[in-house]
Amino acid sequence: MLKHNLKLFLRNVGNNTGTFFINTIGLGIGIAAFLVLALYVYNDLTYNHFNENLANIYRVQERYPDGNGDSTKGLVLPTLLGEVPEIENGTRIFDWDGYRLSHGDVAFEENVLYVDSGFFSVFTFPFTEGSSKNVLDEKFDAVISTSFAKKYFGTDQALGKQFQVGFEDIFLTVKGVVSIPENSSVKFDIVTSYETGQTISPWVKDVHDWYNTFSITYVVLRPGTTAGDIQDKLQRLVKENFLPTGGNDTELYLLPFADYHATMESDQKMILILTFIAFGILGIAIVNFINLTITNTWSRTKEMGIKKVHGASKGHLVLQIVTESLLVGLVAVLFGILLTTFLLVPSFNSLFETNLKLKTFDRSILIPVLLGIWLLVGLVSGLVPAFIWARAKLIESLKGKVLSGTKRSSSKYSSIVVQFVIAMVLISGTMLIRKQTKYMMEKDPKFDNENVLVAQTDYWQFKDLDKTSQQLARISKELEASPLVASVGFTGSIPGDYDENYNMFYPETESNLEVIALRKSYVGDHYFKTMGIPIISGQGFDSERASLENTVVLNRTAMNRLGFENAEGQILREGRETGTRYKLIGVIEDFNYQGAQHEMQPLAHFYYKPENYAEWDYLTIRAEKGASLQVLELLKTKWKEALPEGVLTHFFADEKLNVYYQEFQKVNTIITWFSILAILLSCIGLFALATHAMARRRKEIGIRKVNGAKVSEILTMLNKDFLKWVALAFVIAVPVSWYAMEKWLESFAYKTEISWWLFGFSGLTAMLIAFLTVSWRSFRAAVTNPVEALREE
Amino acid sequence: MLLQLNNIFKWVQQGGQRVFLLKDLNLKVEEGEFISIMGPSGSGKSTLLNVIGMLDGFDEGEYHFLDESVHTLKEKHRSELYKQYIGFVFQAYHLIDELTVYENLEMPLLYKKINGSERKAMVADMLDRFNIVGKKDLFPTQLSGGQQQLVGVARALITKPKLILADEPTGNLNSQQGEDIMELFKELNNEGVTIIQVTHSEKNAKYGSRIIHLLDGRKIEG
Repeated sequence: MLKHNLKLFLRNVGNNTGTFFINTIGLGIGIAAFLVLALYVYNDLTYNHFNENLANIYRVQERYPDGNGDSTKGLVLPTLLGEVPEIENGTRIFDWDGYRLSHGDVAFEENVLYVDSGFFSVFTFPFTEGSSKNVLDEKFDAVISTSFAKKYFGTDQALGKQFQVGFEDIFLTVKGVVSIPENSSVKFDIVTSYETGQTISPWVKDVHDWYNTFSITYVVLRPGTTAGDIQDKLQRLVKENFLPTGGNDTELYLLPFADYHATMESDQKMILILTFIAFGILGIAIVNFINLTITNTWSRTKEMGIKKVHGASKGHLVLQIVTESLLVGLVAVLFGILLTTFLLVPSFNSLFETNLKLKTFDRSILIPVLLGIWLLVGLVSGLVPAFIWARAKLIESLKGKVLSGTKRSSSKYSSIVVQFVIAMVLISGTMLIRKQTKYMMEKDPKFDNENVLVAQTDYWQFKDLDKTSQQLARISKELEASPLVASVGFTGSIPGDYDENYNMFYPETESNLEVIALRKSYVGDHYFKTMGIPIISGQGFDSERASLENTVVLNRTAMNRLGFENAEGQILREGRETGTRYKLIGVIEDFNYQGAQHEMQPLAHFYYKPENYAEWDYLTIRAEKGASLQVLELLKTKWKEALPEGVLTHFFADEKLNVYYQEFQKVNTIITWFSILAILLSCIGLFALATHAMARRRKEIGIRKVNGAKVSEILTMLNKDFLKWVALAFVIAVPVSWYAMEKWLESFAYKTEISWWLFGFSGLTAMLIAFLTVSWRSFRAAVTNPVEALREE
Repeated sequence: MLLQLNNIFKWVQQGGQRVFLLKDLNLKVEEGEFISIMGPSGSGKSTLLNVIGMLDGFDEGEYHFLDESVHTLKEKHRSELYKQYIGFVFQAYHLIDELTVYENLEMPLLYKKINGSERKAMVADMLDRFNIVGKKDLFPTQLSGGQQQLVGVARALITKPKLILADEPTGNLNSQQGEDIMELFKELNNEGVTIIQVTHSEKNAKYGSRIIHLLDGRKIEG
């Protein structure tokens, strides 16, 4: 019997390859899309879950009257560990130092993190070499990540190998290698102890006081203790230690590490959108599969009738049909898994620089989910026709007629409406993201983004810094002498690379504010002139060095906050009312130093002139209009002459800024792909329904044609029936997508408009696609010889 | 006696009125008979055949088949009954296109849970008897109408029924093919199989031992 059923199944598939492929591919794609998105969401929701202590880990945060801080003062953790018994463990992470590390010929500039001895017991990273026990206890011990190990040592064992620090006689020894999970908030290439860090860079010790805020601090609470229990103790610590003593209104609080990723790092709106898309697409695919399978089975009504006459019981028929639909479902599910593993996950990973793997899914979740999908589609699409047949009159079935009263049309059309609503919302969403990204990128950056070239000094490459300094000065002088060059300057910051370095400033003169938090940056001679940032009051850093000591240039936002009219006569003091005096000498336009999605902050530029040019990060060169390519050639030549042993890295001044928009381009790519998918699946659904409708209306079409209807009139009639549902979908999609767009735009400081054509475009696209799908299907019905359609009766 | 119909009525509601398909119909069939049912289109020939074959119900009257009272039986028992004793032959053959000749013949045996080797023997027997051994691996669409109907008859016979019901078995065939099928029926009848056929053709009707004329759902004597 099973053999008989299998044989019939295979021959039916052979006769209807088109339907079979559409059906399995449709569901397969749906499942694959669902799995990839689910994987992404799952990965996000299980962030940091690998830490055994997760429930008891907290990140210590500082909150100020005018904003939040990510870091804490360096003495907070040692004090807490000593004074608060509820805190049983903790670690600081100091992420502000970096230098050249080399092993043999392999050398790179690396970020080196300094951590406390609790680091590897707070975070339980899996060790691939060495172990977490006492791993950083000895000075100059280091732990590296697997990718870092690969970079320096390839496949060789890393344990015991040494890195040379800079060109000095200091070596770090690898005592452990950890494999850092993809979804860890704490990531590093190389860590070593604070003691080691303070030996290599003595200034590190100086910034660990009750004034500077450079440390990321984590604590582990004793089980059973909550953050609320020790809040008073935290506040007492602030009162006793923070400067000015007794008068500091910083709030110290504990953020559960389990919530850290969701609140601080990930875009929860995005996760929600992706979850909706994932279930939406899976839903569409399942409904389509069921619709199409059922539609396709009707053509076998006669076969069922014949079998019944020849002795088949209801059980036999149900078994046969359910076996078949389960088999088709199985093919679709397997295809989906293959598609996920070999196509979607790899391309998703390469597009979005993620490292998702299907096997990271817990087996105990993945298998029931896939089994559930399979049984759902298999059983529903098998049982529905099976039961209708079982109830149907035998002699009707023999004539190939299905139940006469199939009045389920409205529920079937509702699936079309839902699918097209989803498709249209996605299309208009894609268009909006595109429009917003374009808007941000085309927003006047208020600096010269066409003629300014940036060269990285990459000082870490060079052994002899004095010589390098001279050579950099030489390059800068020679470039400045060229008639093609308008201005040259060294700087520590360029648009897109401004440090997160803030401090409090007290205006000495009359102002709206008693104190203001300013984002600080240090730049050299002619910075504003070279970058083409307009000066709206006073002057830039263009005059003699002596006159620029202790001066500051503010941006327009800072001036507006303070209520200053112009630069003249204003004094700011840093840190406290008696702190260092800075004379305001100029005001600049609000240029884009970060992406336009972020709100403009009050920004302060300070003049700096180091003894050694190699202390600067960048050399900036503004070419005369239209000469930038020639200047680039000139730069390359001069660099090669002066610093032949160094590699030159150069780019245009807005390149770093554009990094801010990459995330949106990624999001846009995701949504574009899934819109295409949703449209494709909607088409399959429409195709199935159209096929069904044509079969049902075969006779009607025949009669109309006999009575003189033209092919075009038949096509119009058939299309009208479907397009009205698409039109209804449009009416629903407009407010839904409008609401979603409003919500999405909320988080942007500079928003594009939601134009009517976004909706118009999505509506027209969907309508056109629906029209083509239905026409393709109905054309055959419309051109059939009516005699054939009518003969059957 | 093989079967007996007493005062059978069958009707449908159309526009608030009862339209009678079968009206006060009485029929007694003895084993071994060969009956032809004749009548114009819409006279109820096929309906009568379907009622006899238990593929369709009726609204009033009594139907006895062997010792069973069909009108009191549940659907499930009724289908057991026809599966055991009745074979069907259709005008449009009703072979399953996706199955070969061999498989079409085997199909009813599968539902009778007959084991593999026995099935093989029975199908081989049938193929042999109808001289279609050479066609056993062909699909219905590769056969002529006459050959298809031959397979149809063979399939009806394979479960060894007491009664063959044939609804215009020659309707889609040319005259030569039709005659062959009629000769076959006669042969089967001679072997003891009861046959009831619906036909339009006087000539085919005459193969039967008795002719029943229907008009508007009634039996007319003559």
